[in-house]
Amino acid sequence: MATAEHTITGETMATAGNMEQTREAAWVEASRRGDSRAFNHLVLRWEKPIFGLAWRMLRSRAEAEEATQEIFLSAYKAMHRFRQGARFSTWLYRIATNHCISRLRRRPAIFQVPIADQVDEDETVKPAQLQVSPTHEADLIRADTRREVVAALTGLNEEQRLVVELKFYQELTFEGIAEILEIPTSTVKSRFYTALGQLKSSLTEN
Amino acid sequence: MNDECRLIQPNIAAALLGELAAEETARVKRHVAECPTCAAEQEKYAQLFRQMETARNAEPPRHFFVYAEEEQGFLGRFFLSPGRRWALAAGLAAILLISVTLSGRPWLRWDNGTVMLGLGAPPAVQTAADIQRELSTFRVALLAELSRRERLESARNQELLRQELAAWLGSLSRQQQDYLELRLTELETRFGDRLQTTETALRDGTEQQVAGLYTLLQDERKAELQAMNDRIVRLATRNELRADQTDVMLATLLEVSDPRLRSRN
Repeated sequence: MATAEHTITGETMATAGNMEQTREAAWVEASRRGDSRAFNHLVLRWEKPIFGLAWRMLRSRAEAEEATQEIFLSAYKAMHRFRQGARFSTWLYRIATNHCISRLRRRPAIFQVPIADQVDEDETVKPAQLQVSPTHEADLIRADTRREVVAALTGLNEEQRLVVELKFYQELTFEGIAEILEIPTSTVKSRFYTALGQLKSSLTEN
Repeated sequence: MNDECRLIQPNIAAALLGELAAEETARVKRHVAECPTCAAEQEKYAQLFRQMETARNAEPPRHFFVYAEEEQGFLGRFFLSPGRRWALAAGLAAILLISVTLSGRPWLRWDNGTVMLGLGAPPAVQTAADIQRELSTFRVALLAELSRRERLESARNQELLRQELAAWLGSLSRQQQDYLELRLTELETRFGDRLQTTETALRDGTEQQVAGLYTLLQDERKAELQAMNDRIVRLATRNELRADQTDVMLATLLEVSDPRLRSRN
């Protein structure tokens, strides 16, 4: 019996994806004409992945916040140069990766991330939590693991770290990453799997 | 570790990430099921991916909106670069000094124990009543300008809000459309009424009353939008609207409603 309930089919999801793309294309087009409000829709859509990328690349929340603002501002100022028909995400990721690399290269040879920056807000121990509960203990272990992962990522060279970021965390295809970094797909794959091998050694074999 | 292991091991990570063709994935699975060494290797990669997942979510601490005034043209960039700013200031000061000296008629006056020096025609001596009258004229002009800007900005925001809603209406249910339309009309009516009140205050009231009314107006507008947003969230939690769509929608509604609200957050 047919029901009035709305069921999500593959076709429905594809339509939703197309709608999202159409909307994004409209925002991009308006932004190219200098509409800052349309550009802010793009900011809302992309700020989380871009902030995540900056945070894992730079290993400091404060610096990632500053970098994210600068990345969006650079993109906004360069919108008139954005080629019609190109993928906005590819273009934005290219700006973001170049910006993070440039920040890393400007850093002094010995760079220490401030301790306060290494602790996320949700990891800070509140007075009520001082009595260790199983949940709190699990949170602390998770926070420790996260710090170890970020430290291990920092141990990779810039090129490897970028590829791991774009493949594992941003979930892009190898071809997409090759387009962003302007290198062959085979090089992307090779960097990614070599980096995974190194991360495996440092995180699971100690 | 045999030859098959040497062939399989480089593909274990790719198989776990779903990057291999079905046939190759099946081959890796078959081998791992029989080989303890490769099974251990697979477990290490699985553990690695679980660990890496802990660093996935990084919530942005704020929005990273850009504003139209942040765009500077070529001349702006040229003159506002740090090195040229001083040169520009010094050049303008020199031009000003030369032109004033060339065209000026210097004068000197002693007024209530103060020595006054100037160029051009000396100003007329002002009485307290003159000053009071000037201040009053200035205040009226200032308040009229404030009122004009408030009205313009309000009309622009209402229009933008309407456009945003029109863009979203396609993905909303009839119930949501009716609700949003109704609330928007109410919001516009109430806001219009309050503008009237503010204007009356601008004509008759003191600065303190004006400031108070203005703050009240802004706070109430924010509360109205918040109430509308809360309602949309409730509709969303009943699965009538996708949660991520709602998030973007709420942020956009707040963003277009008033630029000053953004700067407060």
